[in-house]
Amino acid sequence: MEKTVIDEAFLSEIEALQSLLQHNVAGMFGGNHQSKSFGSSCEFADYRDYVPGDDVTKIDWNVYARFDKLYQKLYLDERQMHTKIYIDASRSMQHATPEKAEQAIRIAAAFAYLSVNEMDKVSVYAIHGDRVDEIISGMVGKDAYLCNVNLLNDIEFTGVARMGDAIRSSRIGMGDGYSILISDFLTDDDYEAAIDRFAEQRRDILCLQILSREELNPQLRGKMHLFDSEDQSSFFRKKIDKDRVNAYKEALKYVTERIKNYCEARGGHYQLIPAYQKLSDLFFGDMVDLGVLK
Amino acid sequence: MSFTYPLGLLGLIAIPIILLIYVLQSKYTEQTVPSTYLWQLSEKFLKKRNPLSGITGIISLILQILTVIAVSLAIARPVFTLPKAAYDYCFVLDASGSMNLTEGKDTRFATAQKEIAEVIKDSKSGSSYTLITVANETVTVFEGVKSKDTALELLSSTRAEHTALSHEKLLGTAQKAFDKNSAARIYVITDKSYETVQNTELISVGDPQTPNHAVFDATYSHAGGRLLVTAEAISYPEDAKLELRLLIDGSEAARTTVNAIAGTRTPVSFEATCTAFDSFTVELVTADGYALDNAVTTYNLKSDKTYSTLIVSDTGFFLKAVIDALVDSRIDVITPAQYETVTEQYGLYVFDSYEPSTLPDGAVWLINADESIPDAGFGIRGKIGLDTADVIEKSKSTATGVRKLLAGVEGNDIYVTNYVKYSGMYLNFHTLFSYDSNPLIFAGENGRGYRQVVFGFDLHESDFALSSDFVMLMRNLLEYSFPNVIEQTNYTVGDEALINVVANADNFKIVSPSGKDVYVDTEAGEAVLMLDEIGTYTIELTLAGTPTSYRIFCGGRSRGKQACGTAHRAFAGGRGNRRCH
Repeated sequence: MEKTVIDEAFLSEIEALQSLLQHNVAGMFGGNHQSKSFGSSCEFADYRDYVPGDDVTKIDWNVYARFDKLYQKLYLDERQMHTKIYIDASRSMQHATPEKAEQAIRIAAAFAYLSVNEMDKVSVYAIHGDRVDEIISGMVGKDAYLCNVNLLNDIEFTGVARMGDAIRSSRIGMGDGYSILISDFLTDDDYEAAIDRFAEQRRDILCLQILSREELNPQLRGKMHLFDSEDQSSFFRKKIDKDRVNAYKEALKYVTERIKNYCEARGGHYQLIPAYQKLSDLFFGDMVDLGVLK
Repeated sequence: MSFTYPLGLLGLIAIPIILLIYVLQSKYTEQTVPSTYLWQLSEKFLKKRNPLSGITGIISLILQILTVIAVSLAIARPVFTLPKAAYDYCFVLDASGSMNLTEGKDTRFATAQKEIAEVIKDSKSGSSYTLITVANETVTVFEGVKSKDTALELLSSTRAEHTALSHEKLLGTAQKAFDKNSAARIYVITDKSYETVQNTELISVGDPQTPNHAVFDATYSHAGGRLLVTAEAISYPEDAKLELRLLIDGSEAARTTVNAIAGTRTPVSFEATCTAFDSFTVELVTADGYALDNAVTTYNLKSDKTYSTLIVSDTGFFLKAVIDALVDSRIDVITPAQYETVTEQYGLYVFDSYEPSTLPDGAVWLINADESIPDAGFGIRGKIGLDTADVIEKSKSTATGVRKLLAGVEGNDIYVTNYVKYSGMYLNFHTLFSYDSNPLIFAGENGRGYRQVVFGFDLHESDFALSSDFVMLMRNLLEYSFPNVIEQTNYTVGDEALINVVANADNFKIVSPSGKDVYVDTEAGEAVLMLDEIGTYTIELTLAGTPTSYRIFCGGRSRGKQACGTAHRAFAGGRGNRRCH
């Protein structure tokens, strides 16, 4: 990154954000550290039929009195979560519009801070080509956060990012927290494979699509020969007029809907984030609406 | 095809500029964007376009070019001429005095007529012809005539005038003809020099170097048996030494030579011994091809006034004394009772505090008339008595008639004690004095067509008669009441001469220099004679039963320095010029 995104000012901002969240939101990712597996915590989760060999202390005798049938009470398991944040570090995130990369880093840092405040473990990765580079690994606690968060400034946004291949070849972890994928998703690369991979591993999925102002509402007009920043052999040479812009917006809508549907179909969340959006608006507005914060 | 304003075609320069802009606009702008993914995907969402939308740019370009061409052609005004087609011919013929100049056998005007006839004869059948002569007046002799014979006949009937003509008027007429029908072939036929005449074909007749001299504006003073004469001479084409002589009653009395600068009036003076004369003439010793403006004659103005006055008054001797002192007139004074028995005709009737039943034939003064008189031209609203004498007001009108009648009259501190209030005056009356917006002294023409002066108060009830203004006013009113038949004897062609139809004048007959009888309207008090020939006009009439005559000399009009010898640029471009001698 040419510009230092994580600086003292940002940390002050994120501290203030955390403070506000504590007063207004129950907690990060639902406020409890419940896993999707049933365990031995005190919190009731569900019933199932009793089978011989089960712990008889977990039989609900009141239900037996009523229905004359044995039911086993299930309790949620509770353990430390591991939030994994993946940042698309391709050139398209920074070319001509560095605010996209900046916004991606800010969001990653913010989620990391919220996680470490919940005493969760946080890892941050940058996707370069078909590999996942570990930027911060297994960070726990505020001290570790403050020591490591500056590393996000060093992420190089260059080349392409093949998210499907990169995620599939990396260690994801099994059902122990959120996998947050931050990208502009302006690719026909197989990002669905990445989402599927998260789902297979029973990870909570959160896809954040960051787009610049120009990408959301293009102002280009006239006869244009547009080159792709990631692939110079890919170009678009047409006259851009009102009809073309309308078609572009249709395409944008199609892409965002497709990602959203794909995520939601796998129990995940999706959010489109303008690169110029304030973090406070994002966390108090979109993330609460989405149910990521409660 | 030709163009009326070829400069309009410069607008076509805009076409390559438009093409250049189009080419520059057609160039694709290269730019690297983060991703072309959405742009490429947009291809699938592009709605089916109108097939014409792809060539919108080309259509726009074609329309722009066509617009530029149309505007340029509209400014250039193309004129399409088909070979072997009939034309509308329009001849603008200079009929000014210089066209009367004789060169060889013919005058310039005759040469011009021949040139026009030649064009008419050579024209295709079906053509139409228009002839406009331009001199003092612009006359359309014929317009849109299809028959060659009719056009030639009417052409031969035209004559040049003796008046001057400005270049602007001639060219303006040609321009108007062109504006009226830009497809017509317009010929300007003149002896004046032009470099070019746009949209017209110029036919020059005559040689601008032909000698052409003239004499103008002779004036004189005659006292102590000596006659001093001044005039002006001019040489049009070039500087010349001119020899002139003075003829008194037909006999040469003096001769002189002047160096005339081309186009500039040069003063000439003569002095001769002469006790009396009827006329004198200043003339060039060597006449040129246009003799009419080579001499100018001045006639001695006779004063044939009918100075006979009748005063009808009980106390008319004061008026008699005043009139007697101002004019040499026979004056009779009678009482109102005697008036009914008068049979003799007088030039002027003065009615002092008396109203005749009918107005007589002659000039009339009505003093303190307080009863209506038929044809007097005003009504009476009654006599007004003032508590104290009050000042009457002199007219502030700037009308020529009023200024003439009030010449030398100051009109200060004139008091009246009683006056007659008049109303319903004829419009031709000039109010000279008034009190409280009521006219007190006014003059004009009465219903019988004679000059009339009205005093709205008794002279005995005012101090007016004791003032010097009274004498000045009486002199002016007597001049007004006893006008000369003619006021001057020298005019220039194109002028209007004023003839006073004085009392007792009858049987007017006016003969022009060419011997034609000229009709003028003598019903009114003044007749206007249009002077369109050079020479002596004779006015014959019967004055108080005695046949008498007056002569007016009408001289040529100077055409100014630019008339000949100087080329004039009129418009730009032109179809062609030719010169005929």
